[in-house]
Amino acid sequence: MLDITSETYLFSRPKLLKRAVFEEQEDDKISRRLKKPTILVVDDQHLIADTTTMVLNRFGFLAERAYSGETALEMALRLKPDYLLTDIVMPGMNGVDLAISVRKRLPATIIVLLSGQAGVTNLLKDAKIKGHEFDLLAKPIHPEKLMEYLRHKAPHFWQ
Amino acid sequence: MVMNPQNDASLKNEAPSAVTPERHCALLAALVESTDDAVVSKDLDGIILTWNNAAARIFGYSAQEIIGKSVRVLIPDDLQHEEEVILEKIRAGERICHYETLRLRKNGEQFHVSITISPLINEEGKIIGASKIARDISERKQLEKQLIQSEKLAATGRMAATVAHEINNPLDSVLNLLYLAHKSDSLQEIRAFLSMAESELEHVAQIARQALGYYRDDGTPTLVDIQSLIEHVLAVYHGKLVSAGIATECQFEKLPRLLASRGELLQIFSNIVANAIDAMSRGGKFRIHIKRCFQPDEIEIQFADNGVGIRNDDLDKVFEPFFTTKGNIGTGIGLWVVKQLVEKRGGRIGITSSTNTGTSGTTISIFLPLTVSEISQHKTVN
Repeated sequence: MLDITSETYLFSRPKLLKRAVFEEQEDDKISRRLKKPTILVVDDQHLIADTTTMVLNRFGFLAERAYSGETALEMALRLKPDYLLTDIVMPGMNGVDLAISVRKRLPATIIVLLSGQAGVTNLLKDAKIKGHEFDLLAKPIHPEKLMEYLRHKAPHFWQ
Repeated sequence: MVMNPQNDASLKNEAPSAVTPERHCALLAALVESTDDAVVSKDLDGIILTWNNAAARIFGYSAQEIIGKSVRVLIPDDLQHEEEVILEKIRAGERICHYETLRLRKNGEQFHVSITISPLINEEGKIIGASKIARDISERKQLEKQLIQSEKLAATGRMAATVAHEINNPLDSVLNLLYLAHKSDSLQEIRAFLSMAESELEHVAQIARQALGYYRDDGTPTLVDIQSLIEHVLAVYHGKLVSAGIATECQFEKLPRLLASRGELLQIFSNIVANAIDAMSRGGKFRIHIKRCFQPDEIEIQFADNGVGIRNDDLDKVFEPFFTTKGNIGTGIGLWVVKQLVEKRGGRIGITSSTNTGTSGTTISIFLPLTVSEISQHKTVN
């Protein structure tokens, strides 16, 4: 079944695009930011990180990827993304710790956690006790559903 | 009823002046009547002589109903032989302590009891019968059963969660790849996405086979090539090994094939490899060494990692069911299953581990017996 509604929706933003194109000449960084929301995708499974980044880049986002929590934190501080989409169970720094660090340093970044494991609820519970609450999506998730969710979290990017 | 002379003496020693023999008997009788356990005495033919309140409550017979009858009415048909063994021991002056068995209530219901039976001795020191103390442990047995059941359920749940994670990850990639193929205009690109999706799905199928296949395996032994089996397991875990930064080193001697259940061996090796990966989440070296030993004629398979290691205190417990050092990730049954399967096959398993920085790691050795017939079979096959 071919569903092009999201694409139509994505590309029918003449106002924003016009402004973006206008500003692009002045400051590339600002224009890119205006044109497309930036998102950092984190997953230790390379193929998931790669394909999710590819999908997001093709459909209205400016996506970068990282394969570990440590790299992701360093990239996040540098890129200051609009969104952070991260897997939870990863060797080394896990997604919840990454999310807590990013929220502390970049409070404006919208954080979404993604996991294919029911066992992560304990990690989230511990974080909640310490006062950190995050949105959790379950893997596998259809890319359109994921993008719809991300758009819904920050409608101002898409008006 | 005459009590054991030793106990009698000790009681007298404790309260020599206040308690007359009559008063002593009355006290003991009151004690017997008020206890929660059934206290019954019988003669050497098994005929019931006394019957306390608790016995009436537990078994459902009143004292009038049961005194003079054989204790056999309290024993289920298929356990009648127990009574002969019990009487024989009593006649020999032996005591039976906390023996757990089944008994019958008046209403025909069977229940679990723990019984202690001691010989009754008269003034001349002759054995004249037995005293029996029976405790109703049906509630405890019920709780034990529920506990085992709930542990089994929890283990199944944890296993399902692990398998789900293993399957959900590749499925997530597949959804992305199919979506990308769907939206692409380039035939070349579409083909690339589809072939990647295909190999991911193959991975899912492999996991499903690996996780669920064992339960279908009927355990029938066939001639198995250990080397190719281990290579197969390493292929299944290839992605995980690579993403964790683990280098694998295999040293295989040329070996005869082993007559064993392929599914069981797969499970043994998979569980060990999975543990090694968990122990080396920050990378490391995983060495697998297979060699043949003579006297006894067996194959030794050694798995050595230089991961975090297992603390000495925990090392004794790793083969116990539901023990895990891995928190939420572990099911606590991996190594337990491994041990059961190795022993079922007549083999042995050993583990050494160190948590010292720099030299940490765990080595598991499995010894599986080779028999002459298997070796000759191998020769004819090749």
